[in-house]
Amino acid sequence: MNVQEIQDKIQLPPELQDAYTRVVAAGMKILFSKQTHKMMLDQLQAPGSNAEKLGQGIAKVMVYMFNESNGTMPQEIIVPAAMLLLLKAADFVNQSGKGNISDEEIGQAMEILIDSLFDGLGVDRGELDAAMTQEMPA
Amino acid sequence: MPPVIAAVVGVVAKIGVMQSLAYAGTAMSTVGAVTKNPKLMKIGAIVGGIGTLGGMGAFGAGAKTLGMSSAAKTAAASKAATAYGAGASQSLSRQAISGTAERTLAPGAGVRAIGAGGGQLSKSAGLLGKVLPPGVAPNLLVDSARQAPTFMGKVGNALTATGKMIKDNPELATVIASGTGELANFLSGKTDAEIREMESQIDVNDANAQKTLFAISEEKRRRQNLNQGYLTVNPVISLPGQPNPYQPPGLLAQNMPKVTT
Repeated sequence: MNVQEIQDKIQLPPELQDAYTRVVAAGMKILFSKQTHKMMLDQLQAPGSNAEKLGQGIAKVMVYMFNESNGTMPQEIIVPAAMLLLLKAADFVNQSGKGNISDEEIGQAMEILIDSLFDGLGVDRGELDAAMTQEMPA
Repeated sequence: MPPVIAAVVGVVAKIGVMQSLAYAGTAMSTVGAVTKNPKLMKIGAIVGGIGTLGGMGAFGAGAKTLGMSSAAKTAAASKAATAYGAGASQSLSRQAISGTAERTLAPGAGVRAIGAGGGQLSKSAGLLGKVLPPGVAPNLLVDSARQAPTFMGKVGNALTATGKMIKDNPELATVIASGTGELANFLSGKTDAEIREMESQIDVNDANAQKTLFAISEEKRRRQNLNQGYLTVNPVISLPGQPNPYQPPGLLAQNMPKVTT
């Protein structure tokens, strides 16, 4: 998984770019700062699937930051920032030898991330589900 | 301090999250294609299709998945994910998104119209058209299936155990209270954007410095020319009785009448 390639495909309007960069930087700090990094690594060793731990974990970090921003974080950047944080976290785990997260697991984690974000932010995803299953009339 | 995840402080609008999803649609399609995750490909194809306004044909492919069988959807979504790499107009995508937000047609209608219409924006709604009632934020700290704390429940608790965080970082309380931008600055130092800004400032300063150096150089050259010209055309120092031993040899100087005492 080429993180840079995926990152390049995130197409945010220029006015959101700065907020996006800041949120990703803050998320990285939460994931990798001295105070929390060891905790994250310990939890990665805990029982459970990598996809679940990654997806739910990043969703919680994003919702945490959104809450702490008191609503100042633009909602439009939540999913792109969360995606990038997930990819960077997975990349770190793989690169550092702390674990081995496969591409398939990253995909599953991303799926769980989206679900968890909708749930965590209190947004009904029923319409998205409906659109995905809707059959277009002939 | 209650678990952070349990309650959302800010008001989250569905449109904001859906738009957020749209911005990530192309990337999500790519992730779905790489990881062979059909659900991601579908989300990316449908929502990303709006976001990229149909990268000309790719969008149509994504939109058409709405009416396909599962296998065909997967194939079409994969095709769309590849085609999205061509990119598309952000402004148009924003129009598409904002346009869908204001209208109330059935989900997918706008997508289909755009796909079929060669990229023309229709007045139909699409995915974002319906205004859904606000959902209830569940407690993600507990795995509903197992009723046990999840991984990030633990991490979340630890992270959001504000007492511990603030105990370790007393200044964090003020920073957190003042918003994410400050939080990000506090946590990360200079962001990439700030670094880019600083670099651009360096460029500007450098340009100014170069301009000043050039001006100084020009002034030095002007003075040198003046001095040389002065010495050349003005035999001032060759006043009677005061031959100039330092007079440089030059065409004019050589042709000047020699003054003798």
